[in-house]
Amino acid sequence: MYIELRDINKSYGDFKASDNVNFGIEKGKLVALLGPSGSGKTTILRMIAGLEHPDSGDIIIDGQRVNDIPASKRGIGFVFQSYALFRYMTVFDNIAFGLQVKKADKKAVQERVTELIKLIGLEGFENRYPSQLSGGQRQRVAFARALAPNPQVLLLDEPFAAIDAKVRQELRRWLKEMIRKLGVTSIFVTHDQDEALDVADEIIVTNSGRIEQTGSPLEIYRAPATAFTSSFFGQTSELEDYTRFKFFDRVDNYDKAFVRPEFIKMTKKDEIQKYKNSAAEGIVEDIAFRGNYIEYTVNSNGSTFIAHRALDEEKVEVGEKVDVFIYRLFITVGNEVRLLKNGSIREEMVVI
Amino acid sequence: MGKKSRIIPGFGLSMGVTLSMLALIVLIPLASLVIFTAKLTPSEILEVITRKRVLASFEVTFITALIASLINAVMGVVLAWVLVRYDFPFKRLMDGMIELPFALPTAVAGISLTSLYADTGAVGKIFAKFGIKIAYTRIGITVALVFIGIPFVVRSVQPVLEKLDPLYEEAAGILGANKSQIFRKVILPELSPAIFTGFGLAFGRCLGEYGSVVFIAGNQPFKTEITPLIIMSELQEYDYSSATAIALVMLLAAFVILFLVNLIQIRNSKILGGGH
Repeated sequence: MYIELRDINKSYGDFKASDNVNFGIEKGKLVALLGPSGSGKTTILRMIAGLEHPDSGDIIIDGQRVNDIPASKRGIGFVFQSYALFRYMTVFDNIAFGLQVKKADKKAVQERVTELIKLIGLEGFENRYPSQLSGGQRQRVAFARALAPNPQVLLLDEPFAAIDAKVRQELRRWLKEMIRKLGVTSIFVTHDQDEALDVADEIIVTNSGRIEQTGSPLEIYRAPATAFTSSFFGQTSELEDYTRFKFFDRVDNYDKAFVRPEFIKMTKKDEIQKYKNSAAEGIVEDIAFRGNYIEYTVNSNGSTFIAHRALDEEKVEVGEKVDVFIYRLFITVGNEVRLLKNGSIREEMVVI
Repeated sequence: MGKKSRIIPGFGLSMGVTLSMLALIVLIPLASLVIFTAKLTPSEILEVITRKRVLASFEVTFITALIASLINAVMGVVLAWVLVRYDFPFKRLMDGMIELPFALPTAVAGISLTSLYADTGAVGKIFAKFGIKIAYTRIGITVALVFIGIPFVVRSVQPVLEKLDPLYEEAAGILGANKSQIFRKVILPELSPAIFTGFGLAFGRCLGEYGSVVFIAGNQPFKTEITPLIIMSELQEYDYSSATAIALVMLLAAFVILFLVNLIQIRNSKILGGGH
């Protein structure tokens, strides 16, 4: 493991920001720290950078314990959420800052900065001030500034939060590509699951100061390991009493049951529903157009949940009666998660 | 086109009040300076303001005002820094004391400073041991001007420092800057517009300061006689035109200083405000 956190604890007064945090990150990976606000993800990032100090535990980078090494000597690049570009310095001076403070050779600084400006595609903007750049351009400058001194680790705090949706998509791809190309071990903080699933090699899910789960985006999405992750990922809805839906195994002491839209097949009364006998009747309560699909809020068996239908499928009206079939669902028992599959699919497989 | 609603009603009324205030308090008195001076021919004006005693007073006034304002620019930043960045008992009280030089009658300040810094005074005694005289020298004038000018710099820098995002310092720190580099390269540029404003205001004020200085200056012609005192003595001799001619020079100097400060502000707001 290249970066390792061992038994990290950190409190602010009564608030426990990090509760026995343990994880490791391999060299060259792009990792997302994902969690709701207040889950302690930014605190973890700031502790790795040396901007905060853990109450107990060890932070190890490249085999060396860095707890007592000041931020300025850890060899870390940090991109702030608001970028924190120096307002009275030009783009060139901003990027050159990390080299100049180390008294680097003037020619070497010139070369390195020119190279980085080319990398971020801002040739001709060297003498602009940050106020004369767009949000996306500022973010690129912040990225180049952090990379200039060749850090071993790049940390990014909500790197896309301050950018509008359209540019965000583009920047995400760009950043992912850049980091792959440079091979620098990177950790970014986000509260946006789409962003984490899209960009990261590995996701670390945090919740109320603890690490809930670590794994690849696919693993975490497909097989949530804790009650929190099962409800956090996807557009989950909670079912009131899942046993009212047909052919699911009974688990007596379960706490909650969750479904995602992709677990549900919703059909109009006159459409073919493969598992008609196991489907439940529901009423459409709300419709939202989402661009490439339509989102329906359905009430069935006392539960309200969300189902999707493609644009080319016939439209369903509010108040219309529909058939709903649930393929699978998550139930939580304590902090454990179980995936339950609908029994009627299994039976059919036996028949075949 | 509908009219935009404004919080203070009546553009005509509020603009009228503004103009009358400006005219009565600022423009007419300043214009009268020019009118009185105009009674003299240009060569007479030149003769008045290049009298040896007047030139010497300009030198005394400008040098002491400049040194005092420079001291204030440095000390004002230190004071503002301590008041913003640290917590300590009686902080609010100390914060309030900064304004005392504004509130105190300047003559009172002059008398107390004089008695304190005279060779027999509590502070003057210590310096007298080393053969340094403070009261009745240019050092004494500078001390009085520092006293008068300190609130300007502190009060311009303080709000800027309070609003300064600590992120800039963190960003510089992670990039490997040490504390003095962070201060010089990151914090100082953020503060410098406010420091220049404070410096300019303090300097302008120092040029015209009379009450607190006359007591401690000693008023020896050619040595510690300040320009405002010369103006006063011309007035006492009913030589109004000479007085206003000298005053006009001070006015011009103050104007140039404030103009330069404004130029710096314009440049800074360009850097921060975007546009190409």
